[in-house]
Amino acid sequence: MNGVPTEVEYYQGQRLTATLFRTEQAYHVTMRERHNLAGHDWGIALGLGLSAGYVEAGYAIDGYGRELILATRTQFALDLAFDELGADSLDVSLVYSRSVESSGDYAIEAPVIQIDRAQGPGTDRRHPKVTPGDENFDATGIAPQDTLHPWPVYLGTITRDPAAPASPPVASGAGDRPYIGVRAAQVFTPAGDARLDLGEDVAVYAGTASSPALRWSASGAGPAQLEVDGALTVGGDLGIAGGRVIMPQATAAAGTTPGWQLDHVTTTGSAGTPVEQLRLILGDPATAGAATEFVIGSFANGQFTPCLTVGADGTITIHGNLVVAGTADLQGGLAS
Amino acid sequence: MTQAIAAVPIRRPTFREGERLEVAELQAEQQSRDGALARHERNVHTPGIVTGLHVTPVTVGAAGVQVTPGLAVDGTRRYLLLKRPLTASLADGEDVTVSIVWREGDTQIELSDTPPPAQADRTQDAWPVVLGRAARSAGTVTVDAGVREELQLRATALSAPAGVSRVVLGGQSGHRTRVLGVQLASGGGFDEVTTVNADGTSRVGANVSVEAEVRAAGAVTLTTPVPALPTATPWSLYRATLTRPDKTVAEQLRLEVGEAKAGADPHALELLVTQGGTGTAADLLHVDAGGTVTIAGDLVVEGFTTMTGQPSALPNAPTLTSLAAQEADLLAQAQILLNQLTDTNLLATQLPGPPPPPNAVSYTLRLSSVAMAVTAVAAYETVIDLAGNTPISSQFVAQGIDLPAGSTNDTVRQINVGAAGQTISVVVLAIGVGQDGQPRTGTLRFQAST
Repeated sequence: MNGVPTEVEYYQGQRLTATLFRTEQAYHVTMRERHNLAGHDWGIALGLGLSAGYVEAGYAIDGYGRELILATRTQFALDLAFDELGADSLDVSLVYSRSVESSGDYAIEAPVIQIDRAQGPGTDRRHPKVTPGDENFDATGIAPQDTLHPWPVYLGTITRDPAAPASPPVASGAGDRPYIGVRAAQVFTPAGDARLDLGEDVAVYAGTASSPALRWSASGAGPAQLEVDGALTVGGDLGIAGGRVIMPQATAAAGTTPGWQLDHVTTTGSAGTPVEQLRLILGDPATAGAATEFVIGSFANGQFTPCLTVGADGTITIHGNLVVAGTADLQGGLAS
Repeated sequence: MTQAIAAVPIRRPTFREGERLEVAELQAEQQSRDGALARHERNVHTPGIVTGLHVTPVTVGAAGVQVTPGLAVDGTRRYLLLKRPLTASLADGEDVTVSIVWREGDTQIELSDTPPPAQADRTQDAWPVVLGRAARSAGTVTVDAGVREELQLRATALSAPAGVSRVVLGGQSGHRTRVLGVQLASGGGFDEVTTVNADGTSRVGANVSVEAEVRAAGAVTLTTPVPALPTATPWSLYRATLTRPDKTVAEQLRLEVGEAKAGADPHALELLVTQGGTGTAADLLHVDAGGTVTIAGDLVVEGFTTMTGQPSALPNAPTLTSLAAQEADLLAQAQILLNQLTDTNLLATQLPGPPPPPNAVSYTLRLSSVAMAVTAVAAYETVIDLAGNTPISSQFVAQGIDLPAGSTNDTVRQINVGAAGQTISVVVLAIGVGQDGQPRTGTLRFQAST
C-alpha cells in the first residue's frame, strides 16, 4: 500500500468530476493519516477507559494512522461474549470500521469494539495481529479505507470468575494499553527555552546553548554515559550501584568553603611545592551551631559505632586500637 | 470475535459520477476536514502558544508591555495569529493578565484585571490563551511569564525517527511506577539508562560525568561493591571487595588519592580532612600517598597502640609493652599508697645490715609501733631472684613480738642468694593485733644485689 498521494491540480475551465473530488478528499485524509504516523505514533490518545461491559468515550489512532473516535460511553454485550467465545477472560480492542450510508452519498467511519479470547499477560500489545505484510506499516504507505485491514487498539482485558458467577467481571491490562507517541529528532518549547534532541544520544539543551545540559550516550559494550554539564543536586539519597565516585579534574583550592564537601584541589604545600589533595571538608562549627566531626564507623547491634572521629578542633579519636606500621612522631607528646 | 459499533461516526461525502453536487456535500466535506483538524489539535495536542507571543516590559514612552508576533491555538481549535508587535500602556498600580483571544471575528490581545477561568471552564465564545501577567508599580513594569499557556503534546513515548533512542513518559507494563525513562538502542532492543519514578526515586543506569558540583541532600550510599582492580582509579570514593593474602574476603570503603607514579612526589598526593567556613581553620588530618599520616591536633587512642615499624622516637610511646609496664607501676604505686594509708600503727622498714659475704645480702628489719601497742607481731619474708623470676626463700623471720606504743624491734637478716652479681626482690609482710583488737599490717619491699 505504499504510494504517493495524488493532489488535484485545478485550472480554469476544468470539468470537475466526482473523481477529482474523491481524489481531493483522499489527499487530505491520507496526508492527515500520514501525519498521525510520521509526526506521532499510533495508540490511545484520550479516554477509552474499560470497565465490565463499557468503554468510555475517547480518541485513538490505529497503526494505519486512521482515527478511532468513540464520542460517548459505549456498551458492549459482555455476557454474550463470554458464552460465544467460551472463555472466562476476554481482550477488548477498538478497531477501525467504514461503511456507506444507504443513500450512497456519505461514507461513515465509526470504530467497533472488538472482543476476542484473551491472549494472556505478557502479550506485546504494540504489535497486534494485522494483515500479513502490514506489521511495519509506516507513514510511507497509504492507509486502507476498508474493514479488511483491522489494526486492533488494545483497551484491556475483562475476566470473570466461573467459580463465583455472582461476582462482577474485573478489568485489567491498563499498563499494557498502547498510547500515542511522538516521533521527532528534536522537541522544543514554544518559548525556545529548552529542547530535547533524540538521536544516537539523547540530550537536553537549555535555551540556545550549544552544549547540552544533560546527555545520555551509549558506550559500546560498556555502561552508557550520562553527562551533566552543571551542578547536580540530588534531593534524596544518592546510591551508587557498582560504580565509583571519581573526581578526575583538580580545581584551584578556594579560600573559603561552605563545608561538608569532598573536593579534588590543587594547592601549594608548606614547602612551596604543588600538592594535589582529596579534601574532606567538615562543616564550620560556628555556622552549624554544633560540633562538626568526620566519623568512620559501622553499624553494629542496631547502632552506629564510631571507629575514628576527627573533630573540627583537630582532635582525632581512635575508638579502638591504633596500629602504626611506620614510625610515630608524636610532636605534642603523650598525655599522662 | 464479537463486535459492538460506536455511535457518532466520522461522516464524509462519497462523490459519485453523475451525482448532483449540492451545498450539503461540499459543507460535509468541509466539516469533515475541519473536524479532523480540530480533533487532532484537541486530543493529540493541547491548546496554547505555538510560537512567539512573548510579553515584554516597555520602558520607552508610556510604560507598559509589548506582545511580540506569534501564533496560538485556542480550545476551539481556532488559530490566533498576531502579525505585528502590539504595545499597550499600563497605569501605575495596574496588575493585568495578558491573553490572546478570538472575539468578534478577529484575534485580539486583551489585558484583564481578572485572569480567565480554568481551561475546562472556558467557552466556545471566549477561549483566551494566557500569554503572561504584567504589573506596573512605581513606574516599573514587571512581567510574569510563568503563567504562559504553551502548546503541549500528549504522548507516552518520544522516539527518534531512526529508532535509536526514545524518551518514555508514564508507567507501562513492567514499569508501573515510572514517570520518565530515557532509553538507548542496544542489541535490537532498548536499554533504559535513566528512570524517574512516581515516588521521587530515580535510577541512572549509566556512568555519570558531572562537570560541576554534585550535591546530595540525603546520604551517599554505595549500594554495590566493585572488584578492587589492580589498576588505579585516582581521586575516587568507592566500595570494594577484595580477597586478602590469608584468603579472607573483605569489603572496604576506599578513598583513593592520586596514583603515586615513578618520579612523582607521593607526599604531594594527599587526602586532607579540614574544616569548612572561613578557610582559615587549621587542617585536621593529612594522609599522603607515601603513607604518612599527619594529625595537626591531639590524638586520643582508646585502645592499644601497636608499633610494627621502627621504634618510636619517644621511649615512652604507648606500645603494648610500655602500657603493660605503666599498668604494673600504677598497681605498685597504688599498693604503696594503700600501705601508707594502712601502715599507720605497724611499720616495717629497712635498715643497713652487717657487711654480707659476696654471695649474700644483709639488712636489718625494723618493726615499729607508732600510736598504739601492737602485740603478737609476726613478719614473713619472701625473696625472689629477679633475673629468673624464681623464688629463693619464703619464711617467717620474726614471731611473737609485742611492741608497746612507740617502740621498735630489729631483726638482722642475711639472705644467701647463692651467687654474686644477682639482683633480688625482698618483700616482707608484718602482721599483728592492735590495742583495739583489729589487725595491723606493715609491708616492706626493696631490691638488692649481691
